[in-house]
Amino acid sequence: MRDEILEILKNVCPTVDFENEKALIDDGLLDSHAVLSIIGAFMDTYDVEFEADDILPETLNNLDSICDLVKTLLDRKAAGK
Amino acid sequence: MRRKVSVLDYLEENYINIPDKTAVSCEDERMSWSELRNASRELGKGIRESAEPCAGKTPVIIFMEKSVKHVVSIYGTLYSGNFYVPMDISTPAERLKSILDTLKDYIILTGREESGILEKAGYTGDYLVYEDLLKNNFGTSGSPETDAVMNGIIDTDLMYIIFTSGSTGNPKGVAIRHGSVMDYIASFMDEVGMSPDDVCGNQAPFYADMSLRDLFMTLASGAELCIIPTKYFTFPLNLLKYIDAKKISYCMWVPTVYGIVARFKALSKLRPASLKRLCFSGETMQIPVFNYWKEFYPDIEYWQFYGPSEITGSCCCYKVDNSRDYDGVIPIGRPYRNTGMLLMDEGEIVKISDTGHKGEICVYGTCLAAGYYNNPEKTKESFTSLPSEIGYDEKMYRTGDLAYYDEEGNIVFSGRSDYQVKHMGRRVELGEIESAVESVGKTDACCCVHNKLKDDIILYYIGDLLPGEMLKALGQFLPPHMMPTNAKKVDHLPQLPNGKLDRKSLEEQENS
Repeated sequence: MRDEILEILKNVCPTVDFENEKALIDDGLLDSHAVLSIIGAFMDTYDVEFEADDILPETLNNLDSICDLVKTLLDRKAAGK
Repeated sequence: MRRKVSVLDYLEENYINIPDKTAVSCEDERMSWSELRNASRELGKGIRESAEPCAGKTPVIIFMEKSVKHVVSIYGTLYSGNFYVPMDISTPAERLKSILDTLKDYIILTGREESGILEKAGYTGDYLVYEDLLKNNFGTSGSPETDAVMNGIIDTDLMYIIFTSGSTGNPKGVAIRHGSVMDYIASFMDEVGMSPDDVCGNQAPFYADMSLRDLFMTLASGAELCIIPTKYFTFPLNLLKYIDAKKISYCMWVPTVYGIVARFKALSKLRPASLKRLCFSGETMQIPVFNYWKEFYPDIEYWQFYGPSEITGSCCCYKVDNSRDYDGVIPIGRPYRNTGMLLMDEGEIVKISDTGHKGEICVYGTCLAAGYYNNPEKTKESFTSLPSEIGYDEKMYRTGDLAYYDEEGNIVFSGRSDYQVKHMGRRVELGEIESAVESVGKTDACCCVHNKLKDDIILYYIGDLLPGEMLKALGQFLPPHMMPTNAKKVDHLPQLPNGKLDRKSLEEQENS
């Protein structure tokens, strides 16, 4: 799962080092365009819906938090919410 | 009452009438009208004296993040007798060099923090540091020389230059006079208006001319300019929290930003009660996005504006009728008083009664730019003669945008006539991206197309580099807003019978 997410991220933002960077948002490595492209890629791949409170600086700041977010979205989808 | 010639006359008036009222704020920082006026005059004196023997009328590049000090730098430049060139600090080295080459003589004003970015972009020349100038000129705001410079401004003098995308790969500097901005202020105040109680939430970067409304309509009305830092526009809930905390009442944003809030249904989590007027321009407002906002704010005012940088901000406006269902598009309305707009088709003027007939939007009047700075060829191409039955020896600007009249006589925008597209609210020449691909090298052919639905720019190319390598290499040549969303390496590109690239079929493929 983690590898698959990493692959998606690398495809969208080939110049960002997702494995080692720990503050993607705080350090300004992902701008608005990049964040929306990433969200779009997850929506296409996993058929999940994002809500406003899923998209926060802290949920997208590093690979771990992004993996947690995708897991939460998949759980929510499975629960039919 | 003395007449006003430049925006500085408004600033002096606010200094006298409302000295302690907040003029500009950003997060925890704020500045009153008297603080803004005094700091700007001190900075102006500093620029003037540091830049000698440049007597004035020199472009001052403001290389700064959108901030309170950027606002001071704009007014400070004008108080120095020069004109300003707001610059995106993420401008790549190649583009920066091309802009500096176009300007020829210039002064660079930057902040202590941003000076490192400037040097990183390969700049090795002199520059002025904002913090140093202010420190060295503290307490000099009463200088009579500053009054002399201000009173010496003539409304045909240049006020600023904004660089836009150019199809040959060279950015074009749209040069605007003081008189055009003063005319824009008068038009906006007549038709739309703003009250001293308003708090205007600024989204547009200062290097885009959409920011004129935020900067100068707040100045003319004595309202508060509340800068919303760029980082908030990535996270819809944080954006709404900021609006709520700052009690923002007035927004003039690109539709993309309204779209982000709508896409993630953020207003159902938080609906700021302070919003009273929402304006949009820069690209087409999608009706579902508009309807989403109207559902939460059924009784506030909505306005649509239209206008390229070459005509100073906007040339027409439309007040949305909240009781009407717009199933197709929201019109861009009618020209402001003292501004002329024509639709031209094959050299003929389209009549207002000829509803639905498409023509190219052409604009004339005081709003017209002086031209493209140091680029007479491009100026001649875009600023052509107004038909003689309309005006004597007058110029008009051909926008390259297509539009038609609806049954009420409103103008309705219907697309671009060439390969310029609106991407993330900014004007992008696909040809400029293709020129950059050529600069990267190792490419046999390429074509950029715009996916209108997703607002993606897709680069198709035949060459050796892998898509990731191509995007990385392009980053050296293009600013972030012009970067393709996706690169696709292909074996061949479709051709027309005459051997030319079949751009249309790629476009259809992308938009199907």
